Amino acid sequence: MRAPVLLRLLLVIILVVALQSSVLLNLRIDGIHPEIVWFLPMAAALLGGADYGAIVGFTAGFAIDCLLPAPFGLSAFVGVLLGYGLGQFSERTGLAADGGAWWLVPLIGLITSFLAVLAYAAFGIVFGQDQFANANYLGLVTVVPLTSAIFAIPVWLSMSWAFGSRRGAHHRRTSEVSW
Amino acid sequence: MATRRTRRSTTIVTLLLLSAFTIVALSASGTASSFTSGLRSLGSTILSPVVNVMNDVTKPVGHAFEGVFNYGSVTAENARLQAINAQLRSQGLVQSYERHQLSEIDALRNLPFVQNIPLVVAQTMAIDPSNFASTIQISKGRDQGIGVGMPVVGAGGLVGQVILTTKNTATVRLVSDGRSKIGASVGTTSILGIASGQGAGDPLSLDYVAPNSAVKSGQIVYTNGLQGADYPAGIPLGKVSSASTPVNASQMSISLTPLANLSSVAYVDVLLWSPPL
Repeated sequence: MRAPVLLRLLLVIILVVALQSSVLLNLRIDGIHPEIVWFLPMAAALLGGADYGAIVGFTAGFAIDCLLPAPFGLSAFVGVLLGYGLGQFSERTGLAADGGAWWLVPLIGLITSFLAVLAYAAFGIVFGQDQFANANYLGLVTVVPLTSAIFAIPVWLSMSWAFGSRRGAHHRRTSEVSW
Repeated sequence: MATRRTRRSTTIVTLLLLSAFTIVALSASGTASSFTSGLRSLGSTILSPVVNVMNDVTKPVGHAFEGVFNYGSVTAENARLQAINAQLRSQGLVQSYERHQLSEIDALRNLPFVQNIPLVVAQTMAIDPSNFASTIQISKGRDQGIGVGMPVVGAGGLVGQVILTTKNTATVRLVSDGRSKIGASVGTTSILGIASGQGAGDPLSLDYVAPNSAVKSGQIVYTNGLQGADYPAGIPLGKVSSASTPVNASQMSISLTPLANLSSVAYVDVLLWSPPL
């Protein structure tokens, strides 16, 4: 993992987590606020592959776990699964939002954040958070994916910048992570 | 080459998953809680300044969004405030925003149910930062003497309990949260029960009350402060909104409306009180 990419990724993660913990908490529809942090591992997986997806998922999840009153480590756990899972799916099927139609990024944001909410809730219940069963799921599976679709484009652009040019990102998709 | 890459990839994801799983397991079980809370506190201390700056910069955006997407409630709130304003004008009691805030803090300093327990007044910084839990974040933390488990009260009554602290902030689990369980007694009677949160915006449920007990709508429910309780006795918790005994039920079905206005707590008192050992 090259140092400049690492630093830029860290900067984007901190900024998105800060946005999530500040202004986005006020953007509530039916009491539900957007959760754009989930899009970080997804963008990393599509731009950099499964390894980057997992690493960004862990880092972003861990950062948000430090600020949330949720079970510590749960977001990191779900982030790794999402980033790695989407990265593997992307590598095997050739799915690439980069260079595709403009609506592909919001669509991926919508679908994957829907899965992220359900995965977070399911693993939360598995880890003993019984109160997760009482959450407003109708609101969650509509508001979170729809708002993620809107915020996906700026987050995607930020992650593209973090990974370098689009061309560089394309190369990185087929290269391994080296330390 | 491909196999080597796959193996490395598998190693990375396995290590990350194991690390995350270990943190969740340690955190959930309470084992090595000083390690996990220290880790969380460190992360929070690093990220909080960035979040605070972002909060200050983006506040107008949040307010604008609030106005657009919650127009109905904003209009209703506006009408209500106009009515109050008109009333205050007629009484010659128009106060500035700062004076209003001061009076709110002053009210918190004279809560009868606090008795002689020392307290810390704190401002609410964020409400429900997670979509899955009913919590608030307040502006005082460990440096001001706040610790995990301390009760938090507002002008109306019990607000919740501190579940997480950092150097200068704390997270409070509201009484409405699904994990909140409070030993309670109904009015001045000896009827005891456990008040459980049912999620944000929903009434509390008072469980384990024997069938056909003398519980009526409108009665006030207080913390019971029995031995080992998490709260001192006598803090108003909620008002009975419905009480009935379903046929063949082993307990009454009782709903409580929280007395503290949990959706807009601007200031709270943290009681520097710990359960006696």
